[in-house]
Amino acid sequence: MRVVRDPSGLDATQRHLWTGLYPTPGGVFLLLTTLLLLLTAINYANNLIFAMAFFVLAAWGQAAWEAWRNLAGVNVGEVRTVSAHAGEIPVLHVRVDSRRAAQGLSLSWRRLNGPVNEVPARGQTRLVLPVPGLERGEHVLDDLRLTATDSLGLWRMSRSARKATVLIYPAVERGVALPGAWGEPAHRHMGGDALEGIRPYRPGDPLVRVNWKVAAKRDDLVVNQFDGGQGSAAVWLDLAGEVGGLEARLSRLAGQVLAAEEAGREWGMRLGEQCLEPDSGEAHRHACLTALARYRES
Amino acid sequence: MTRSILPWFAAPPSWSGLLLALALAGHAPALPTWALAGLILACMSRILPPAWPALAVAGARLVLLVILTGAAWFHGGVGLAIRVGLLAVLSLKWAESRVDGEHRLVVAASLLALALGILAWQDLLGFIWVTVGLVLALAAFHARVGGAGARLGNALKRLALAAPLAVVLFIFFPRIPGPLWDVGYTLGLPLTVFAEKGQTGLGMSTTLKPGGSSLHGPGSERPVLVAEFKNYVPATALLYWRGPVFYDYDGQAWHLDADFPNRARMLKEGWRRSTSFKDSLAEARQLTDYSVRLSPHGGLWLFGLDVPAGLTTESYISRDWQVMSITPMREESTYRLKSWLRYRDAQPLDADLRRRALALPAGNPRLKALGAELSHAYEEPRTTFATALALLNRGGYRYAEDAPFPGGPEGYDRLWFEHKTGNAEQYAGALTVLLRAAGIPARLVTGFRGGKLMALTDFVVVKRQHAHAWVEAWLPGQGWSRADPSDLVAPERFAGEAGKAVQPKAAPRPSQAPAAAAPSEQIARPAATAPAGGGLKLPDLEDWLGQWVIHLDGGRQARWISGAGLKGPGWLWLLAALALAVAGVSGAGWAWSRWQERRAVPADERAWRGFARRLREAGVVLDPAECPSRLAARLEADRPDLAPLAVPVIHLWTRLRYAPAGADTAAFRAAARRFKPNPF
Repeated sequence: MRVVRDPSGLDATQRHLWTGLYPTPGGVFLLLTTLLLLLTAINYANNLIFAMAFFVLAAWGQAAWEAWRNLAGVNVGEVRTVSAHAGEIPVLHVRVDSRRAAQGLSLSWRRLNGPVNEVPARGQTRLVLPVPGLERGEHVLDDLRLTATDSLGLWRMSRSARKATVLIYPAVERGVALPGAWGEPAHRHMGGDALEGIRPYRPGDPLVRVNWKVAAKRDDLVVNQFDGGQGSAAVWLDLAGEVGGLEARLSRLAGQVLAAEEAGREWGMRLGEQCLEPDSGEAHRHACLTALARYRES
Repeated sequence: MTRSILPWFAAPPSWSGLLLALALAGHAPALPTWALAGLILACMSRILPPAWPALAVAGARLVLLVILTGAAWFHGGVGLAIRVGLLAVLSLKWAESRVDGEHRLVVAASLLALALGILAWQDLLGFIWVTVGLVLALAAFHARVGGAGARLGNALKRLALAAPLAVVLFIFFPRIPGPLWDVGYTLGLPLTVFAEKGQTGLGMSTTLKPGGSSLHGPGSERPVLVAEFKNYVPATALLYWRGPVFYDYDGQAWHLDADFPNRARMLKEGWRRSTSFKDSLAEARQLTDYSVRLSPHGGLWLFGLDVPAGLTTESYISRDWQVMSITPMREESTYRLKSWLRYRDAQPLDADLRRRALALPAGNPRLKALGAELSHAYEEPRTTFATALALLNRGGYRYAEDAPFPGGPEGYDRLWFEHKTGNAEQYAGALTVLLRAAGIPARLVTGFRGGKLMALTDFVVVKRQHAHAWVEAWLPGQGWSRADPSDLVAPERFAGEAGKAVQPKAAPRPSQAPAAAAPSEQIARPAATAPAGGGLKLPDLEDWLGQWVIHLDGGRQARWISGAGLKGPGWLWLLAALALAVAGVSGAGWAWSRWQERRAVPADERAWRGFARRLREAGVVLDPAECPSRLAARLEADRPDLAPLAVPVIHLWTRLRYAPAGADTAAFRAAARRFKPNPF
């Protein structure tokens, strides 16, 4: 099995990644058949069977070349972190481009193979790989591979793609009630909707809060910060406050996070010693769900 | 119609099914009708309703398999049972295959079945079968989305691309002749695997009862010895492996000396050293050097070639020119011998041996009368001898390996005058009787003749089926001279491997039989008869196929090797040539694909890349992300030597890239080509 240097222009730290060319089980079986054909041909000194064996053998060897060529000029683009809730199937997307036309490309991870796709010459395509069966947590798929087969499916050429991170959030418990404002409020009530100041824009902030006047004078966006969010106390979600098994409690918290966002409330979260300050928006939700995904009971 | 069938061909089962059908059709002529019907039924079990319980379906299939195999056993024995059984398993596997991997398995196994089915088809029809089978197999292995057309197209494309490599493999793969056992013996597989110990059968037995040995029976494929020749392999027809020599005939059987094996006497009468034996020869030519791996037979014979020129340890040359071992050969052993293949004896015949070599028991009166007639007709024994051989040659005798011997006191008489059909040992006995009756001392020699030449190697495998008997007559001035009745009766028998390969089923009788004097040279030329092909008749293609595909064998390859003036084992040369040719074909394929790829790049960009390469060679560090105008500026600043030529090229390229309308492509390409910073 030939090992070739990765031609995809990866940086130096990734250069050690291996590429390999292996026959598929079907290819191994065809090779064994060819050897049997050859033995039959020798045994009976039959040239027609020799011819048959050699044609199969040559096609087999040619298929290796085809598989190699399919992958040789393919470049792997950025792999983004993918997240999903437990029970859902996260799908990895990788963009690849190639100088020449390449067929039979797919993403694979361990025994999972994504759907086969092809790249036109000097074109791009997106390869997807659904990764079912992952449990809650952060999974680094560092043996994610880009594979190509030949048109007969006899050989598989594969190459390490960049690693991908998959976050599996807890399953969402639907229809959970938000706990009432509990303990200390997140923000002191100084008055309803009083402007407290401005802060830099964070992704997920509602556009209506952007202070356009300030933004017009500056290079970056700022948003208005109001006292007490929308005027009500922040909700505190606490793992310790729930009952049941860990996964059930985490699911409930995940459901509460979504419910809080849906209700337009600010929420904070306490996971054991970890504490996420009350906030709202997509980034905050993501931070909370990530914390839930990564949570390990000590 | 086609519209409704085509989607069906897009699925793998159709292709593996077609291939299976082709394989079954190849076996069909050899199968009874009911077996074929059973196999079709097995395939049809694919369309059983899916609602049926899986266990019931599996049970029904198992029952069908058992019934088919059992019936085949009763009908045609183990061979047919195995064949039908395997085909049934294959058919049933296809019937139950649902996923792609299963179909691939069926396809591969069907290819094997197809190969076994066409074993007997050495003609155009077989060629068509193989071609169609290959296309179907590759179409079935299709691993892309696509309909029938895509599958077929890809299969044909794969075959076309595989063709150069396949042809090279086909031509240069050494055709060491099978069966595999023989190849194994050549490689050193123990000969004892199948050899039974004991001195039975022609060539080894201490008594010879006419008609009592068959060369076709079970065990005829058992190896007796494997000889490896040094320097050159003589024509196999010249190889006489000498075993027991008989003088005494009692009317029923031929016997060895009464006191055999009396080692003291045999040592006394024989030669301890080959040099002293050589002194008893008037002429000795064509020295061959060979080593023998002998299967244990329990006897003393080492089966040296006629006549011995060099001995191994613990051996001597007997009075009758055999190479004898001091101790019986009870274990497989390897030894090295030398022999003169052409020789003339110069020994006198002592009175006792002359008496025994002329003795005739009662019986066979007609042969005796013929002998007396011959001796009266010709004064010179040599003429008598030649006439006796000519009688055998032109008397309309036929050779049949399993011919029954008439038997009785007049057995040889009836063979000679009535049956006129016999085998080597029967004719040799009859000729010995005739010569003795004519007053010429004669002895009956048994052993082996020829052997299977493992083409492209220096090995000859001698098997039980090569057992042979011939006659030696003592002639004044010539000593013991060999006469082989088989060459006179059936000259084609030892025509060599090449002759046998193209031997038609019904061999035409050679109208002009070769002269008796030197039969082996006469018949060494292979009979160039066209194979009697059945089936479709397309003379030209069939002839071409026969010449270049069907009959390309080790012999022909060996002739290429010797024609190229190469010495040494042919298979090594062929493997070397094969490696070179495969490398050549692969290299050519690689170069072709590179060229194709280059051609896919637009000419302008190719020119730009060439320009960039020459810039790099001139020492300019290039950054792919650098914009051309910046590169031009950099060149003007850093490399005034290159700038006058390079900068216009860069400007032309910029115009071409960013304002293609109205850009002068030809001018750019010419300028890019002209840029040669390092003319030396």
